[in-house]
Amino acid sequence: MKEIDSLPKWAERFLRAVCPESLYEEIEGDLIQQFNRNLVAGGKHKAKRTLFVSTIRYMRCGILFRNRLSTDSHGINLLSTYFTLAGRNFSKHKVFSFINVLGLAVAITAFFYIIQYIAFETSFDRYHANHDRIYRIALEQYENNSLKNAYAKSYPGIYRFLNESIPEVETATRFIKTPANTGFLFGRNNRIFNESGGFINADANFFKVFPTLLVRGNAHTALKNPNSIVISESIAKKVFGNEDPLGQRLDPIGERSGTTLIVTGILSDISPNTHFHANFVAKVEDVWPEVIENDWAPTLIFNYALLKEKTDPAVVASKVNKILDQASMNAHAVKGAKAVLQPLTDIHLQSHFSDEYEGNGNQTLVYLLLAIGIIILLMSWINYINIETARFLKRAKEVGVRRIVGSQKSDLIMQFLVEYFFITAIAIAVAGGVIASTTFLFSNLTGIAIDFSAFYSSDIGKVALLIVLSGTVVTGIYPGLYLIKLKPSQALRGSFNVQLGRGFVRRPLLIIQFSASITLIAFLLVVNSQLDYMQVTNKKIEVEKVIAIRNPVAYANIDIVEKYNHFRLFNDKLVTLAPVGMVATSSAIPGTEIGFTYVDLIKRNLNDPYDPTGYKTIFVGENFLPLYGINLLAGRNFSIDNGSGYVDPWERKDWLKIIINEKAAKTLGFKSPQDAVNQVVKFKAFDDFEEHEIIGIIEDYHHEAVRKEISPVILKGNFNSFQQVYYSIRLNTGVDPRQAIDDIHRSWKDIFPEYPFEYFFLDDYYDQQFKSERQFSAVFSFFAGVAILIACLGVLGMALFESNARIREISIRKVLGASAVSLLALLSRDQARCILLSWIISFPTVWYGARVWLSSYPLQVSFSPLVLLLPAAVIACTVTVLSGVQALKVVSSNPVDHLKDE
Amino acid sequence: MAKEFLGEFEELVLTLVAGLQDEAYGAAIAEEIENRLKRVVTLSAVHVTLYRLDDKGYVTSKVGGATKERGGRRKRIYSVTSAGMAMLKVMKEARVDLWKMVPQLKMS
Repeated sequence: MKEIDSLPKWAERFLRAVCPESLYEEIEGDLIQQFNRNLVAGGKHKAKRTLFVSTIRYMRCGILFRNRLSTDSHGINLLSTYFTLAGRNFSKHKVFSFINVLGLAVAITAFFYIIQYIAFETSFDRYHANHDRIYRIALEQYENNSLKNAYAKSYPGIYRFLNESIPEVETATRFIKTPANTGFLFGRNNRIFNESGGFINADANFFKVFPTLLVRGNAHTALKNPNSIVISESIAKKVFGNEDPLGQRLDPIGERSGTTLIVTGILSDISPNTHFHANFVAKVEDVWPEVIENDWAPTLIFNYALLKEKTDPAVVASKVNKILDQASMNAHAVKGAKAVLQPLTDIHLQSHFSDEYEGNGNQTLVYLLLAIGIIILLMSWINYINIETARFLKRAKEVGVRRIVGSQKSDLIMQFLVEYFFITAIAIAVAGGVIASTTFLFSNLTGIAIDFSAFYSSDIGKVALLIVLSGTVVTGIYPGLYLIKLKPSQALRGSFNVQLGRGFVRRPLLIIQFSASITLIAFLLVVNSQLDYMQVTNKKIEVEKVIAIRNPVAYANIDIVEKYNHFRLFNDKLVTLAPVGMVATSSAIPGTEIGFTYVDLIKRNLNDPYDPTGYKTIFVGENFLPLYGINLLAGRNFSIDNGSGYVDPWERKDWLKIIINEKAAKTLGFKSPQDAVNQVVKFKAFDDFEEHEIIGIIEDYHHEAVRKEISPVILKGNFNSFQQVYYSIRLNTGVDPRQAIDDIHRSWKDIFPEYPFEYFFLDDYYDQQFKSERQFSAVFSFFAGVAILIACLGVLGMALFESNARIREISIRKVLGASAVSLLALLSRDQARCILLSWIISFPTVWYGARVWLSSYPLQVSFSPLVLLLPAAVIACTVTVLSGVQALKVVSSNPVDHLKDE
Repeated sequence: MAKEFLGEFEELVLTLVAGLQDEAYGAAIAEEIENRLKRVVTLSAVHVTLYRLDDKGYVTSKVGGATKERGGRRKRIYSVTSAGMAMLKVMKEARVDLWKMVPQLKMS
């Protein structure tokens, strides 16, 4: 092989990339010389190998950064110059800078909050130790192989089999939970407390499955002895102050008065991201012995199992199902039942049974918000690029001059990087400021406390941070790189190829933005109209101007006659008050779940087959229907003569009479409400089926939120002794509610001097059920608004670009005599086409998405065509205004100004 | 000269620059090291060291002649500055001083 006089191509290219220009010749020469000497001394292969190694080894800091970042060169001075330039540019083009910074900052802020929300929603129940091994046993009820009902609860007996017959289960627990708004009334040292927040009655294993909940006390013994109670930290503080609560006594009032509860442990204040909360945990055997007596009783309770490590839940589920199959031979309540094991951490987002403890989250919402977040972020980046490239014309000249005066490409790259870094940094700083000052608003809106340190240590937080930072950096760099590609001669003439940035990239970007905005507006309309629909219309019950009070002696362990006397006194006193129009009593009030759901409760003939439909029973006074304005479709209301002193309930006139709702009539097989009136059915109000006459059929009303399907409901008179749990008091119209409450309070003090007076307005109470929907609506509206704002910024940027890029064309057209109107039409034709296309694209998304979303509600707002038209109209108007102003500016300018530099 | 000191390889290269005089350029220095010390070095290591010595002010350089062997590329000839010479002397004296501490074996 001959001696060489230049390096191989690859080596040359590599060295050019790596070495500073000033060192290049020397290094190249030395490498050639070394190669040639090696060729003589060691042969071709050795020489080549040495050359390769030597060349590659130039990839080192001492070479790479020499004269680039070294402190003594002019680099640092240039860098500071670049910052000055960036600052000047920023303040020179205030509108562009403002749009850029605003768009980026708003998008980053919105994305941050969305990620916070999602992080919260997906973090549910991870608070519990062993959360990956805990499962809830839910129940599905099949009839002829089709799913009839599904419950979050299951049979009391499942617990026993989990513990005794399934070796894969480490421990299992079962419990009953009183709703969070039902207070627990107890006394302590002559003080009376009524504490709500949830009461759980569990078996002794509760804290073995959920050990994290117990902050003090022994998980094995806390619920071992009868009359043990575990109270939460905040309750302990409230009741006992600085005393040590362990071993202290509590005296329940009401149902269980006379017993003494001993505090055996302290419950942690359960963090908000768990699917059940409680302030008290006591033994289920103390309160509901009859419920757990029968393994396969139709009364369902919650069952949770902690599986052994590395257990497949499917194995346990199949074993449970085998046991259920066996049990169904004897207990017909179990027929067609199938157990489902729900992972603890999936319950919040994925489980939506009618008997959940608390309103669960919504997986769709989480995904929807994530999508909105990403759309917002993408749109802001797209806008940024659009606006930056829209400034090409001006910047191109600058680049041209700089190139000719002697700037290296690398210098220009550096300059643009600094400039974009500058804007990005300001945007991030603004976003940071906004976030820091609005966290409280976010917390108020969503009920989520923001914990920054926990957030950034979570995987979701890290990924989000990485996305934002890398996306922002890439977006910042992209337009600069684009500029540098321009040839200086072309750039100087100002006639670079505008098409470069139009057609291919821009139009799709614009269409994506328009489609996203149209879709979001459309969804906003659908969601809000559905919420309005559920909240306002069609409850078929009047809950305004009703005050509800819990009857403190309803479950009290006192003589039935005494209870009656209390009722009589209070009721009579109330009706004499001026503001009070009517008083009714009932076992449940609208807005709460109606007690337990019973199956096989009512049938037309005794030998009818087992009926797995869940019926709900409310015991009501005769004023219940008129007070709440519930319509009778056929038949009559109860008539109860309460005036003649205490009479045993079964001696009353309408004792064996019931009123049912339409749904129940249908379920029982009556063709019309009229058919059902005066029919006799067998109804198991207490222990046995008894013959009851249906005296009336009421219209289906929404006892619970419209979100839920209406259950078949049976109304039975509560008469004078039991199930008068709530007083509902309707105020006369035009009455000051504060005055009314004062009056009622006074009557209360006369009759129940020892009980704290607590009341609530039924409309507020009823509305509480929509809390999650309202939150959803607020959050969704807010972020959709942000997305639309960013889309507007995008449209503005686009209009600026269009008019800048075509200014010469328009000037020439104008000189040749085109009218202002035709020029405006020319400028907006493209955008009109984009809007039309976006509308067509978003059409199926909106149509399909809205149907899917609405289908999760039993009652749906009708799908109006306005939902499809209005958003497109809104976008069209916005675009017309934003770009019209810009176009008008161009069209009305003097063409000479734009043509004279040719 | 309290703060400034030279690494072993830097000292080696600096000494060679002083020794090779007009022939002190990258490839020659690398070759000298390989031939005399039987030590394999890459060119880039030598170059980086030369630049570092340049930064510290111990050597200066000027562009020298091209040869056919180099494909017509010019050499960069390095020469020791007086600061570099002083540094070399200081280091040598320090070595000798330290060496005196070592008990010498009497070869009798």
